[in-house]
Amino acid sequence: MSITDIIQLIQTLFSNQDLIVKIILIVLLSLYVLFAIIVSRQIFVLNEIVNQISFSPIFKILSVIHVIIAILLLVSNILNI
Amino acid sequence: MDNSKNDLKGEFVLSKDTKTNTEDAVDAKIKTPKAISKNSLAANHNSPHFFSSFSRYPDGVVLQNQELDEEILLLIRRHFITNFPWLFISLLAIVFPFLLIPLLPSLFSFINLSGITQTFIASFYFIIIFGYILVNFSIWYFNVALVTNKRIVDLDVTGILFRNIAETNLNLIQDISYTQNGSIRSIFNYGDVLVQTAGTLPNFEFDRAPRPAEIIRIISDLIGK
Repeated sequence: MSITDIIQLIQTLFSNQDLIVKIILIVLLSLYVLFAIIVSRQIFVLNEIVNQISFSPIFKILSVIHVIIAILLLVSNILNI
Repeated sequence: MDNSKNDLKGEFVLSKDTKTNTEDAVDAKIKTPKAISKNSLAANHNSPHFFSSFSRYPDGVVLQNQELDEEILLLIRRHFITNFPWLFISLLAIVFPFLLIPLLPSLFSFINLSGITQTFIASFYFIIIFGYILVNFSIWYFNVALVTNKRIVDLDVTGILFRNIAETNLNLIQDISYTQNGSIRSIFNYGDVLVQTAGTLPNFEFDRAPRPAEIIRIISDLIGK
């Protein structure tokens, strides 16, 4: 592959705004999924320390939903690329 | 102090440390009336809701490593009004895109994205807001002080990954005071409660606690016993 081909490839890539945005979204979503998992884990751990029995399950479920939505968004974005 | 608590201070903990005492405490709360003191039977118990910042004799609250004969007498969090800044920001963030939509074609005419990509961007934006609300609520919710018939436990959560747990026995408390500065604190009746412990032990501070005078009175009564 010559330099001209590489430049042409980069130009093609950058001319497709949709593709660039999708790639950026996938990267950001991957990081966000990691963050969501960490937050969920911390919520579970902190609920073990101070457990408000009436609300604790709801809180845990909300954190899990948050993770699931983030993962679904990432997967659907990858599949849509 | 239990050594496992030292391991929890200021660290991100991946593994769960299950304690049979906690399970026993939960069982005792549910099944065994003998675990409850006579005074508390006469007292008005209440079930705190998820935005309670002050609760006397809270039912359904269990502390890790809570002893069988230990009862939580007071639950203190920061006054709920202190959540106003992040709540306001969240509300603005939710409303902002709907205000921006009519202006988008003119502002970003050079950007040409498919409908699906725009949907993904919007979904990502809203999930970030959801995460922001979850994190801020968690920080407020788990930033809690518990007064039991034996000790005071202060759980300080400064960030989702940073927490500090401190506790002291009631007999080590030497002095307790509070400060309430400013109009907002006076209107909503919240302030900083300082619990001074003996010697070189760290002091406890209940930051922006509601009804500080009542907290002082409750703890003073416990010390005086």
